[in-house]
Amino acid sequence: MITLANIILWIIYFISLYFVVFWLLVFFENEDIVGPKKKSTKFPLVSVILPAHNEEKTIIPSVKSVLSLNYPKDKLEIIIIDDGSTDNTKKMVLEFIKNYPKIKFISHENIGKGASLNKALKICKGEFFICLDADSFVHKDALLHLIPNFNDKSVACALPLMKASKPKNILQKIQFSEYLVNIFYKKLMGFLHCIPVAPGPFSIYRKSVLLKLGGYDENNLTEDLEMTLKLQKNHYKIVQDMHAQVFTNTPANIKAFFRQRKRWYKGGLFNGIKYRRLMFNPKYGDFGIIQLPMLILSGIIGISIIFTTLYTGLKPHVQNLLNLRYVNFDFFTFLKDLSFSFTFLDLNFNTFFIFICMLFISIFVLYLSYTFSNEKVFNQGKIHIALFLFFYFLMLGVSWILLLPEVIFHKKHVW
Amino acid sequence: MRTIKKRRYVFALLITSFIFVFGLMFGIVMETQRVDFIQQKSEEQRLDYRGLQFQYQFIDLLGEENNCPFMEKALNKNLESLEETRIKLTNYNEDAKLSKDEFEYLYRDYVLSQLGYWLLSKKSRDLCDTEVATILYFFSNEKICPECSEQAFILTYLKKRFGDKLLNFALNAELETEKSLDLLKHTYSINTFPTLIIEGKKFEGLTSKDNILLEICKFYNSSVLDCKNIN
Repeated sequence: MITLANIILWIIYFISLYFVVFWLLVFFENEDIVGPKKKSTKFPLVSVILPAHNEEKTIIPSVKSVLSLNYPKDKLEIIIIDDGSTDNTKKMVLEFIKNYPKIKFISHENIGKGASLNKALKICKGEFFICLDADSFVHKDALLHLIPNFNDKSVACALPLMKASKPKNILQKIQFSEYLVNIFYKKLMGFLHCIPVAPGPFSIYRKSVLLKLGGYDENNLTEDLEMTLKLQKNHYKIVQDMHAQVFTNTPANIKAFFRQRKRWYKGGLFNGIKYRRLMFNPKYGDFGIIQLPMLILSGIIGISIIFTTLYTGLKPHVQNLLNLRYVNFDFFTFLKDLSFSFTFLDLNFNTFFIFICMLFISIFVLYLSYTFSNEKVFNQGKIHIALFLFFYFLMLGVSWILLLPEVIFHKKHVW
Repeated sequence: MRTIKKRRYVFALLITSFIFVFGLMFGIVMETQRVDFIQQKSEEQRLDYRGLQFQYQFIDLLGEENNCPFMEKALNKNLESLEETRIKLTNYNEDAKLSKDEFEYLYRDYVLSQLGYWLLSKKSRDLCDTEVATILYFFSNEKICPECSEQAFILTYLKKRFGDKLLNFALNAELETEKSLDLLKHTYSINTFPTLIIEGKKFEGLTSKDNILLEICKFYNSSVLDCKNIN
């Protein structure tokens, strides 16, 4: 019997499969995914900005990682910004930079990340501009790998290979996989000039382009996403580097995870609306036709998949629970006489086939993502891989659902 | 100016569509497997029925009443297997795309088996003096009969409570092609759903557990725990 829930699910399956197939075609069209390992021979002045808001635990290791970069020290301008921290961030930075007089320090009341970066943009002297979130750490060779991407004059931004830093629990290990898959897709998106977001940690920009575009949007929840969309709108090239490694802390508990995702998705939603004129606009190429619509569509898919899964999966059980009232809630009779007569033929084969296809494609993509990121699939264990494949999409769907009341009631987010 | 390679979009659409069509074909192939499976089950059940029928005739003719408990067990087991097949048949029929006719044919076969067992159970009670109550349960689809799922739940519960002492015969009143079902519907004037026929007595609409107990407990001579407060 065809129900509305079934129709919605089939549309979701089709769209999801279409996107995956589309990007796999891009993968098979391009042989060299990783690209040559180039190291810079020229050393232009680079400004590295570390904006921090209550980051007392991670700010010093972040600064240390920048100081240990394999790059001429006189070509590196480091600016730390304390954006109205209420913890010991300011005190710790001041103490630390006593030994590094060249590090610049700005402290002001809480004005937001976008405004803080704009402040830095005005005073920094570098030809290139990098923001490193204070919860992230950079590999010593990262900058050497990133700079050669700008030999192509049309490149305005290069993204590092951002990995989750030292995942400890299952949630962080799942995110480790997710980050690698994202990098793989971003690399493919880069081939079609479709990268939708340059992450906060260590994405490098031509400063002249940032200035030309008027800097960051100071009232934006996800200023990095907004900046990327601005670059796309103005047809600048963004590339994903597969050698420059950056490590970022990921949420260690489910509350922090949902908080982070809500912020990202809310930013995605509002920026998608802000740049709606790019959507389905052939002037913006594949980015307008497939990538930007996906930014909005992913939310609709996430919400629909949760509701339809809950509806189709739980409806019979809810009905049975309600029916218990007719037998004085005597569920022990059912429990003591439980019997299952499930055979292979009882499977819903159409759904099963699509599920198997999606599963194989997901395993293939996961394998490619690990391989191209120079990681071994089972290095972090096996359970998180299974959880990532089977349940992670549900968690993302839940994030979208949790976001709904905030969007409806215009709740304000802080970084 | 950015360019779009339309061919890539079309190719992705073709591959995705191909996977979907292949999935649909796979579903159809498996549908024929389901038909074969139910057919095989029906054959087995027909044999079981004939075997049981012979045993009753044997007792009837030779007066071998000491074999009664063994046959009651067999009757109950066959009915459980029949009910299992009914549930699978109903689910397969709901999913069916091309084999609706085959499934309906098999459903007729199932209904006839049910009715055969119903008659056999009546004979069993006469012959072996068994403590068994029988319920004919006429149901229809969710649209016509929104309370049928509740009624089925209550009957399943009572079956779990009473085991061999209660025999439920679920009959889908929608099956218009089976004339013997029409005969029963006509005999008991079945117009509304759910309707229960508990040992000849008709109950229309959703019948509660307590009302069913009131009726079936009349057929148990020895003490049955669930009937203690009723009798």
